[in-house]
Amino acid sequence: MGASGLILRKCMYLFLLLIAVLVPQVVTSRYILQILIICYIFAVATSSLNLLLGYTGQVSLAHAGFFAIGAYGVAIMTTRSGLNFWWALLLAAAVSALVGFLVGIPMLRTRGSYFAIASLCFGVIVGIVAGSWSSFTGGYLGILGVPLPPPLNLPGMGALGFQSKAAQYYLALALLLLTLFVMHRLVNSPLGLSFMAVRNNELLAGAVGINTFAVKLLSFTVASFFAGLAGGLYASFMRTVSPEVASIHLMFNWVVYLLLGGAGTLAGPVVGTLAITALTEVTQSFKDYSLLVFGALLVVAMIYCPRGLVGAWEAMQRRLGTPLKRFRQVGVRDAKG
Amino acid sequence: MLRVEGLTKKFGGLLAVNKVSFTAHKGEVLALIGPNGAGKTTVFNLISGALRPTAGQVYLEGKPIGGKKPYQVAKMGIARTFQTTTVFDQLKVLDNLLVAHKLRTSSGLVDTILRTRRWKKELEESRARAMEVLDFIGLKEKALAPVQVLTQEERKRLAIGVALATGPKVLLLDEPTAGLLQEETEGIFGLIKSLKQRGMTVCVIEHKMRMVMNLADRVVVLNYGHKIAEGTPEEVSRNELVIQAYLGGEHVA
Amino acid sequence: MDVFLQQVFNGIMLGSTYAVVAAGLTLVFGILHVPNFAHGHFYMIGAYVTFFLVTSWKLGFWPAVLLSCLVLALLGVVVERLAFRPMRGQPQVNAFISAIGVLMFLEALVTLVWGPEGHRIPNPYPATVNLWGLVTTQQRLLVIVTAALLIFLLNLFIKKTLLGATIEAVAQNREGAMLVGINVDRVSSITFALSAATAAIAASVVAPIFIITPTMGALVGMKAFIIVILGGLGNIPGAIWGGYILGLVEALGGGYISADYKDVFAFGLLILVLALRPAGLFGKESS
Ligand SMILES: Nc1ncnc2c1ncn2[C@@H]1O[C@H](COP(=O)(O)OP(=O)(O)O)[C@@H](O)[C@H]1O
Ligand SMILES: [Mg+2]
Repeated sequence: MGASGLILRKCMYLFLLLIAVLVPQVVTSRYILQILIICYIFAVATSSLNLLLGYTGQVSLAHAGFFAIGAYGVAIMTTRSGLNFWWALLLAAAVSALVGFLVGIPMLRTRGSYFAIASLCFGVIVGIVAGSWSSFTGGYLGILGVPLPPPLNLPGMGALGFQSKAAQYYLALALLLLTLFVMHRLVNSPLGLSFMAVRNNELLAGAVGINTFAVKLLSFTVASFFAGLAGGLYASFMRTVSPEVASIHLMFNWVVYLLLGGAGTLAGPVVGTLAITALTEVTQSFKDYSLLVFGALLVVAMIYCPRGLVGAWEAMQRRLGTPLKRFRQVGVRDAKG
Repeated sequence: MLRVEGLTKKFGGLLAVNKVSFTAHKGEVLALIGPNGAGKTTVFNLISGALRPTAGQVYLEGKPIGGKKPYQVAKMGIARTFQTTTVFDQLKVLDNLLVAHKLRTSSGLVDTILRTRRWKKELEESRARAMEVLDFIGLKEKALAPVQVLTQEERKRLAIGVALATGPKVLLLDEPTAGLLQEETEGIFGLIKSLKQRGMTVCVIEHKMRMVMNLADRVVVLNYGHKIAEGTPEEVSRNELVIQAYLGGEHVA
Repeated sequence: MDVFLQQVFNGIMLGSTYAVVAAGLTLVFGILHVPNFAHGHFYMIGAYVTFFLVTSWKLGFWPAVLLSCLVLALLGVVVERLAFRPMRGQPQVNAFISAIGVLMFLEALVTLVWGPEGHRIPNPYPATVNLWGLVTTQQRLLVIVTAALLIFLLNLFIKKTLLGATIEAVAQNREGAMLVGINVDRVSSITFALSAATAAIAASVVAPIFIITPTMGALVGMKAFIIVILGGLGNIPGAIWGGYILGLVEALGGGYISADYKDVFAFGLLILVLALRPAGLFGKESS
C-alpha cells in the first residue's frame, strides 16, 4: 500500500472513532445506547473468535463457554466474595484464559471438524455445569444483583461513575478499542504471520520452524482471555447472569457476525456485529425472520464470499483501484516502512 | 556436516527406506537420485522430522536429531522444500520470508503487543534478512505482491527462499525443477550454483541428469529403498547397478 | 433390581434412537466426508412433519411417518445440493460452517411456523404391557423394534443392493469410484436422502413419548457426532453399537449418578478420547 493510501486509511479510522465517541452526545435513547453497548461487547467476543477462526484457521465453538466463564467469574467474585469489580474482571478473564490453556492442550491435538466438535462439547459442558451446579452458579435462575463497575478515579477528571448509559457506552467502547488495538498489533507482526501460516499450511509452517501446536495454543488462550473479558463486562452491565450466556445460539450468532462481516480481517467482526444488529433492529418485523435469513446468508457467504462484507469491499477496491501498479512500484523503502 | 546412518522406514509391510547411510560434507552439493518410488522423498521426511525413522539416526554436526519434531529440526539448521511447490499462498511474498525467519527471533506475545525495543530490533533484522533473500532469489520487485500473482517458476524460487530465510546450515531441495520449462530450469540451476559458491551445504533430489552431472559434487543412488551406489557423478554413471536400475525401471526416474 | 431393569430398558430405547440417527450421520460424515452438523435438525424436522400430518391433516400415525420420511428424503437432497455440494474440494470446516447456517435456518423455520413451545404427537399406542415384570408402553417397545428393523434394512441395503455397494465403493475410494464411472453426485444425493429419511423415522416413533421442540435437534445431532467419531468414521456397526452404549450409559448414569449431568458423560468422554487419540478411536494416526 502506498503512503497516501495509508494516510487516507488512518483518517477514515479517526473519523469513525470520532463518530463513535460522539454517539452518546447525540443519541439520548437509552434503548439504542443499550443495544450499542451489547454490540460492542459482542464485537469483542467476535474479534477474539476471529483470532482463532479467521487468523489461525481453527473453528472453535467453545467461545460462548469462555464468555460464560468470564461472566460467572465476575458475578461470583463480586456478589459472593465482595471483590472489587475491576479486580474481578481481570481475574475472571485470567481464569478464562487459564481454562482455555488447559483444555486447549488436549483439544488442539485434534483437527478440522473434530476440533470443532470437541470445542463445542466443551462449550456445552460449561452451559450444563452453569445450569446444574446450583450452589455455585445459582442453577437455572443464575445470579442476580451483579454490581455495576464502581466509579473510576481518573487523574484530572475526578470520579467517573458508570450509572449512566453514556458512561457504560464509553466503557464498552474502550474495551472494544483495547481489543482491536491488541488484535491489530498481533496481526501486523511476525507472530501474527505465524498464526496465518498455521492457517494456510500447517505442514510448511512446521517445516520453517513454527511450533504449530504452541501457536494454536497461544491463539486459543488469548482468544479465551478476551472472551472472558467481554463476558465479565456483560454480566456487570446486565446486572445478572444465567446459563443463557453459555448457549450455543449465542455462539452461532457470533459465527454469523464474523463470517458475514469478514473472517480474517480486523474490521470484519465489528462490521458484522454492528451491521447485523442494526439490520435486525431497524426492521422490527424482520426480527422474527432474522435467524432464518442469517442462517441462509451464512450458507451463501460460505459459497460466494468466504471473506464476508469486508473481504468483498476490499476485492471491489482492488478491482476499481490500481491493481498491479501498486505491486510494480514497490521498492525497498516501502517494504521497510 | 549432515550424516545419515542406517536410516530405515517401514510403511506397514513396505520397506520404503532400508539401512541407508551417507554423509553430506560442508559446502558440497549432494544429489540424491533414483527411480520413482525409490524412497528419496521419504529420506528427506526422515531427516526433517516429518516422519519418525523405524531405525537409524541422523546427525547434524555430530549432534543426533532423531525423534525431533520438524520445527525443532528447522531450528537446528536443516531447511527443506517440498516436492509439490509449497509456499504460504495466502501471504505476501515478503511475509513468506518474514514468517520463515521467525524461528531466529525470540519476541513473544508481550513484546509483540507492546512493540518493545527487542521486537523492533528483531523485525528490522528479519526484514533485512528477507530483503537479502529476496535479492538472492530475484524477487525483490515483488516483495509486496501476493503469492497468487507469481509464476510457477517464481513460486519455486520463493519456496527455496522460504527455506533460506530460516537461516539453515543444510538445505534439502526436493525436485526443485520438476514441471519447469528448459529455460526456467536454468534459472533454478543458477540459484543452486550461487548457493554452492556461498558455501551452503545442499542435498538435492533431482531427475535432470545434466544438472546432476554439472552441479553435484557427489551422488547417492537409491533403488527400492536401498543405497546402490555413491560417488562422483562420473563414477556413478559408470556403475553397473545404477545402469541396471535405470534400464530396469519403466522410466528414467 | 426392578429399577435397574427399567433403566436398562430406557437405555435401550434411548440407544435405539441414537443408533439410527448415528448410522445416518456416519453415512454422510464418514462416507461422503460431509460434516453435516445439521443432521440432528433433520431429526427434529422429521418429528414436526409427522406432528403436522397427524394433527392437521388427520393422517393415521403410520401414513404420517411414511410421508414424513419422504419429505425428509427430499429435504436431505435439497440441502446437500444447495449447502454442501458447493463446498466440495474446500477445507472440511467450510462445510461445517455451512451446516451451522443450515441448522439455524431449519430451527428458525420451525420456530416461526409452530412456535418455540413444545408440542406432543398423540400417542398411537399408549397401552401398557407387562414384559416379565417390566412395565412399559407399547410405544416404547415400538421404538426399539422399529429401530432394530431399520438397522436390519440398512445393512441389507448396503450389503445386498447395487446402490449400497456403490456407496461403499465411494466410501472406500472416492477417486477410484470416479474412475470406474460411478456418479459421485448421485451417490451423494441418495446418501443424504437415506440419512435424513432414517432420522425422520427414528424421530417420529420416539416423538409421541416426549415433547417435541425446535431445539430438540441440537443435542441429538451433537451426540450423533460423538458416536460417529467414537465408533469410527463411516463404520456403520460402530455407530450402531455406539448408539446403544451411549443410550445405556446415559440411562444408567442419569439414574444412578446424576440426572443433571447425564449429558456431560457423553461430551466429556469425547474430549477425553480425542485427547488420547486425536483422530478418533478407529481413525488413522498421522504422524
Ligand atoms: N506416508 C506414506 N505412507 C505409506 N507409504 C508411503 C508413504 N510415503 C511414501 N510411501 C511409499 O514409500 C515409497 C517411497 O516413496 P517416496 O519416498 O515418495 O519415493 P521417491 O520420492 O523416491 O519417488 C513409495 O512406494 C511410496 O508409495
Ligand atoms: Mg519424491
